[in-house]
Amino acid sequence: MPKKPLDRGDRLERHYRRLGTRNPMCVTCGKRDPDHPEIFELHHIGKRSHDDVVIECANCHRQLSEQQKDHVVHGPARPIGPMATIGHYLLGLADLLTMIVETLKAFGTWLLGQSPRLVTA
Amino acid sequence: MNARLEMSIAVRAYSERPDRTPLGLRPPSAGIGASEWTLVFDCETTIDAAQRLRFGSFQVRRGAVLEREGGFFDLQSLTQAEQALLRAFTREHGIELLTVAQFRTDVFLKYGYRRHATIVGFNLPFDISRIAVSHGSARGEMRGGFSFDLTGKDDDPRVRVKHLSPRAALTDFGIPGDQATPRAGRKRGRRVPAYRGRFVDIKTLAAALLSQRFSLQTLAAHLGTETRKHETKEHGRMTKAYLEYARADVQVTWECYRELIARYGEHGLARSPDRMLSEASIGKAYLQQMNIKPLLGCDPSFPRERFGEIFCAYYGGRAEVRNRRVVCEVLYCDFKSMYPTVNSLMGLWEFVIAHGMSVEDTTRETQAFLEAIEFKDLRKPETWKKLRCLVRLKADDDILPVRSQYDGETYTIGLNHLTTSESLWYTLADCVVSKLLTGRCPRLEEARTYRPGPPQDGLVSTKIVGRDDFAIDPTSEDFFTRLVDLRDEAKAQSNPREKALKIIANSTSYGIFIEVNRDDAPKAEPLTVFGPNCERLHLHTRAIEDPGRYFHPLLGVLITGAARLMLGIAERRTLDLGLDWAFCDTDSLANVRTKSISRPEFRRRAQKVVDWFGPLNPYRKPGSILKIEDLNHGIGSDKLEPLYCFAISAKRYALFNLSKGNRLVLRKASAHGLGHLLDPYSEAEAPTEIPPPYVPLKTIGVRRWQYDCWYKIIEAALLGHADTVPLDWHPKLQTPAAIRYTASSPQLLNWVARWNDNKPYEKQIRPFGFLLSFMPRKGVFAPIATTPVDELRRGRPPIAEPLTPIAPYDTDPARALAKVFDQDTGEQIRPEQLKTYAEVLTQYHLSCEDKFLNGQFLDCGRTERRHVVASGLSLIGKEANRVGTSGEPAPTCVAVAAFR
Repeated sequence: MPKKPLDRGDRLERHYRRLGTRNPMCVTCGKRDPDHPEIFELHHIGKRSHDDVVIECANCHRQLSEQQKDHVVHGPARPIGPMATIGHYLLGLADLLTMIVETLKAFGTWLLGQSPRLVTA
Repeated sequence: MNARLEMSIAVRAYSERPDRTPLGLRPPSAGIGASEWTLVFDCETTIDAAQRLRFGSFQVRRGAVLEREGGFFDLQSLTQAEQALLRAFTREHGIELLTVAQFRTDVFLKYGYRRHATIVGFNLPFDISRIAVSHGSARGEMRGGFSFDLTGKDDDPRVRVKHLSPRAALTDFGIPGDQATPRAGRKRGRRVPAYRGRFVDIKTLAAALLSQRFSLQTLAAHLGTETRKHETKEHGRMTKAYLEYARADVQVTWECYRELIARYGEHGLARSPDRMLSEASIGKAYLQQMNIKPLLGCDPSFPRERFGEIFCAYYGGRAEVRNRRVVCEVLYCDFKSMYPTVNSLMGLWEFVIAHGMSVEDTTRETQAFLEAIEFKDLRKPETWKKLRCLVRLKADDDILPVRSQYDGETYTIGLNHLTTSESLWYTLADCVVSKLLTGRCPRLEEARTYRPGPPQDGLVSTKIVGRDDFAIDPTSEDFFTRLVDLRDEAKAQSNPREKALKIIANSTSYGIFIEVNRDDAPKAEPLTVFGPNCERLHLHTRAIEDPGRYFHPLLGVLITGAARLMLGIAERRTLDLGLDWAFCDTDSLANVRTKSISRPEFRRRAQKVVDWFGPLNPYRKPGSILKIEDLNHGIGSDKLEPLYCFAISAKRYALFNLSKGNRLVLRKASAHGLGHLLDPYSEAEAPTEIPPPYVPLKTIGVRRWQYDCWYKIIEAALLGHADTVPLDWHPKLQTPAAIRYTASSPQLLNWVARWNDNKPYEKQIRPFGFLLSFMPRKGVFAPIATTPVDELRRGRPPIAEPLTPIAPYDTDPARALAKVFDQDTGEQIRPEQLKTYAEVLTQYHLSCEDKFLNGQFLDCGRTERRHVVASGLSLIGKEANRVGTSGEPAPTCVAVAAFR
């Protein structure tokens, strides 16, 4: 029997449960929209080899996942084991922090641009 | 010297599942917060044995806004006319009408499960059981409980309910077949945590917050809600008034819930209110709020052999009768907040906030301390800090708590002379009591003093009930002392928060540290048991025990040991002053006026006993910690009035005044041993020959028929025939005595398996329905066999299996008697085969105090300590476990597990 489609209220709650919060916010760009949790995703910092996740908006998530593709060592001998896990994790964390730094810089610059000017003689 | 009595004794053992992490080691569970939705519902049922759903009412709220309101009904249980009435009623009020099937999917599961609504009700397990389509036994964490199917589809979650106590049950959603994690996510190893639901039974929440048992009516009155529960006599008959009543019930439930949530919110606790199952939950939430980690959380590898030693010294509160079945004049005293007080005196808060604890061998110092200690030293608060010590000894006629089956069946604890060939652990406080009472110093083999580790990192202050002036800093203040001080202040200012402070003080000061949860496994499972002498037994048993989250047995053992010392001191002081005592019970003692002393002299000496404890007061409010109870004063007066006592056995006593003309005025009485019986008659039917109570029954602590029983017992004693108490004061005493049970577990429901056989599901007795149990007449009460001579057969007669009479619940006891059957054979049982109330009460006034000499049926006067010579040592599990719904031990499982 086909399942009854979920209405908007049910779907919202399902997203909150998936994200583990009712107040999701992208840790990278700071986007916050509790009424539209569907635009947020969980990003594995150290790819799938580590359980730590952060909430990202779909755009930032795609960007971070794209960067993770560059962490793969190509060739016949792929690194495995705990050291490889930690390595992937640290690279993922570095990507994440880099994007946060970019956001902070942009925000700082924007604040300066918006500030009133003190004109000195 | 008394005759020696050789008998096996028992000590508590610590046990742990080898394959399971103790609760204290697990992080508190977290999840997304509550959604803004609330579903409140209530069911109305038939009044027959099946208590089948007829109709129900519900409200769905978003925040406080009512989004949906309606009724639901069971098509099969309502006639066409009743359905028409229901339709007209809902139309008139502009509310929805659904079938129960629609309610289950479109309201209960839609809001309760998919929208994460808080599901609210009064006595939720009963209502959930009414709307279910079938049930089974729950598995996993909820084993021992029920699992309810709501739709018959695997894709929908089941609701699981596990009964914990008459006040509380664990309720959650099972994991449905419909996966919450999409296939793509599952392939990537992701998992959306299962949603377990949020169920708030306001009966449970009210009991946890207000420490009282309520009906919906009394709760609404207590909370002062705008809407009050309607009165109805229409149960079972569908009328407009009955429908109004049912609709109002849901509104009252919502208003009570809102008020309780507001009160819970005042505490400022992070824990969700659906987790508040008792006062202890509030206490634990406060410790969590202060960031206090449990002992096992700080030190997961704490040697479990130590727990075995510590548990050996656990004996609980002391309850005894010394002057039995004689009327004596007393001054009834009790200790102020006994457990918080001894906690403060011993500085046990240091252990609560410590990162682990260390142990030191102090055999020599402790033996010297014990030899040197004098009565006057115990008046110094600093002495009590030295009692954080456990000692091992071979008892040699020392007076120590002894746990044994004095009556051959049940384990009870008596302070007796003990001689053992095996070494046992006791608290140092118990050894001090022995020295006080015997004058001899016990010989210690070993002593271990426990020292708290450094304070935990990250502790934070908390504001009790959210008030700035009730702030407590766990690192610089003694939590227990501060709480009692705050309560004293609140009481002096008539602050309504005084009760909340009392609940928090009591719930954090003892029980949570010794919490062990019994889990009866369906079949034997591995369990590791730790005994007193580093034994480690690997067993397979069904009696599984799990330590609670803040399990810290040392604290539980030291607290109760020190409380026994307080009573020991009071006893010694009483006897030294030429007085006697009638009974003691955990934190209270009744001093007896002996014949040779005048009343003023008696009071003067009793006051001396009270004053002795003055220097031990750790609180700001001056005065002694031993208090003369209010009931020693005249009713509504501050003047002492002669108070009399008639004590039968431990916890079975009554206190009363004799007014002019020797009129008996009962002030306090115990319902111990009577509380499980259904009232044979109501207050309105009470006999006219017994004067009604002068003080409210609630203050006395009994129900009306229990009051009458005590009245007759005391009257007989005053008239000089204490051995024979007439049991003819009411004709209903000649009817079979009934006990009401709730079918709260699959085992209990199994009692009515024969009744349910071949009945359609809706006509069966279902989980959380009511049952009646009766006691079969046996022995001298058994009906005389009328076997015809020609039926006699040769050989040994077969041993008759004892009858186990039960009946489906009926509001009319006479109707219930017609349905009594044997749960094993299913055969009908006649009323004359059942014990009447009068027969059950026959020996109540002669109840034995088996743990002492001169404590048998007709014995009266002073009981004497036995001299127990231990002939064996058993290791046992939690005592008084699995207490039935009416306060009596549940007959479905062995109350105490014996491990060895």
